[in-house]
Amino acid sequence: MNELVQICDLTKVYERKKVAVNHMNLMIPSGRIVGLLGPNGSGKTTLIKMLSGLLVPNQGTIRINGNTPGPVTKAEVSYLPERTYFRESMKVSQLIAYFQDFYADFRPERAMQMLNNLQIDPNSRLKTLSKGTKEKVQLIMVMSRDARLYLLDEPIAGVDPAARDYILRTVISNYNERASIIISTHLITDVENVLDDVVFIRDGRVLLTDTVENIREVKGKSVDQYFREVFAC
Amino acid sequence: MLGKLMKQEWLSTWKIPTVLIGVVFAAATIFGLFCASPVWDLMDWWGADVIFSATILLFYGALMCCGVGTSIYLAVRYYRSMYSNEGYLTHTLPVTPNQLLLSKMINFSIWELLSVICIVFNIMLFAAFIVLREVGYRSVFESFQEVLMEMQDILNSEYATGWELFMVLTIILILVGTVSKSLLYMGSVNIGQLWARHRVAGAILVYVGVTGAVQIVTQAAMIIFMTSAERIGLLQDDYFFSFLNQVMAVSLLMQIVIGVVMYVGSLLILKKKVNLE
Repeated sequence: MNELVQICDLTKVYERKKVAVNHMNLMIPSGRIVGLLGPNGSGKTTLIKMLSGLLVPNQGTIRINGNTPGPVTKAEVSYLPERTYFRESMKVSQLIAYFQDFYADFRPERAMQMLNNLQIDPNSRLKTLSKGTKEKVQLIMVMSRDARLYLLDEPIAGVDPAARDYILRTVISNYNERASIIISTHLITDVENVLDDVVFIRDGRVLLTDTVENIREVKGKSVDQYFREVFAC
Repeated sequence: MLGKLMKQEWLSTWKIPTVLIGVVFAAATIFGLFCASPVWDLMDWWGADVIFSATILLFYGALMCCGVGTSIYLAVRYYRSMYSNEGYLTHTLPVTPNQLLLSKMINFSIWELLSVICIVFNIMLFAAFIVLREVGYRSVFESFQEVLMEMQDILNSEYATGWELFMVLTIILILVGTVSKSLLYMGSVNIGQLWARHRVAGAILVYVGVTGAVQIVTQAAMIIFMTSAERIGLLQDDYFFSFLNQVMAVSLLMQIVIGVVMYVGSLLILKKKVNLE
């Protein structure tokens, strides 16, 4: 079985009947870096939250490596939310110990190496760090795991362009061919060089799935150009 | 995983309740020493009584601060770790909802119990200082012995039949009560999350509602026991502790029911209704 993620007829309806994900079907194979792209409110974050087990679907099924979201999938999924989510009073070193406690696939030496490269003091408390540095710390924690599936929701939105390059290099170098990465972002130009596939989403439905290579060669456009064309207002 | 969760839970909560316990101990010592000091012999004016009353009030405030403050802090901590941004980490840990709930319940119950022990200990400490003032430092031991002997006489009299059971029930009620109280505010927060909006207000409403219902049932049980024809006569006889034991049994039953309902309810919500929007 090559499909790492299987999404079948997935639906999520919020209060006041707002349909965020609408009978979605999607397959993500192993070993791919997938860009989840769509305009605001298209259902990207909702989909990622359902994959990570933070939201319960109203209908449909999710299978990650053959399992429905729960403790087993959470041990294999490394999730980066679009917000800062660590306890502010914690030190970076305490976070490393925390991740080491709960995730068998966490590699502290890799985290320390990345902290060192980005010149972040492991003894500093999160509340003393800037927003951008906190986001870097979060990404370091998430990418220091040998997970099967990485879910990155807007991973580079709050960091400077120089750090973006480092982060994207980190993303590429830190995952193995058994794993897949799903990246949700608006900064398509920045990420399109690292993507293998793209999934365009609109109104909670998959509009199209394609390889980046195909978009470039057949359509003769960059992903960013193609996105602007498809979602033109 | 339960052990790891409990360790991290403890690390994230120990500071504030420890400070509160320290504040009460400091208050009992400082206010107690103040009350026991010879300065009162020199103050022969009406203001002395006011100052003395204010000191006792301040000590009472410190006790409240520890008891209520610990509960409020733990409830807020629970809310933050489960339903604020921190919930994004909590709910993506590879643990079962049952382990999550158990770790928090055990940790909060320990702190609630420590809070009760702290309050009882510091009331005794404060009282010891007051006794010192009344009887003097030299005769305090004799006074303590007198009190013990008087208590022994009372407990050996016919009015105290059933006091042993009363003590056992009191200890069980304190232990069960701390667990039940923790589960009540954890459950209230969880139920509050089912509201589409004003979730914190919803949680407070559930807490107040359940606490009120418990009070009403316990009071009703007391009234029923007291007004039954036999009890009216028996209350003045040797059935005082027997009457109290029945009230305690009702309270205990209520605490167990609340604990079980809140635990099962919380577990269902965590399994099927978690929605971190």
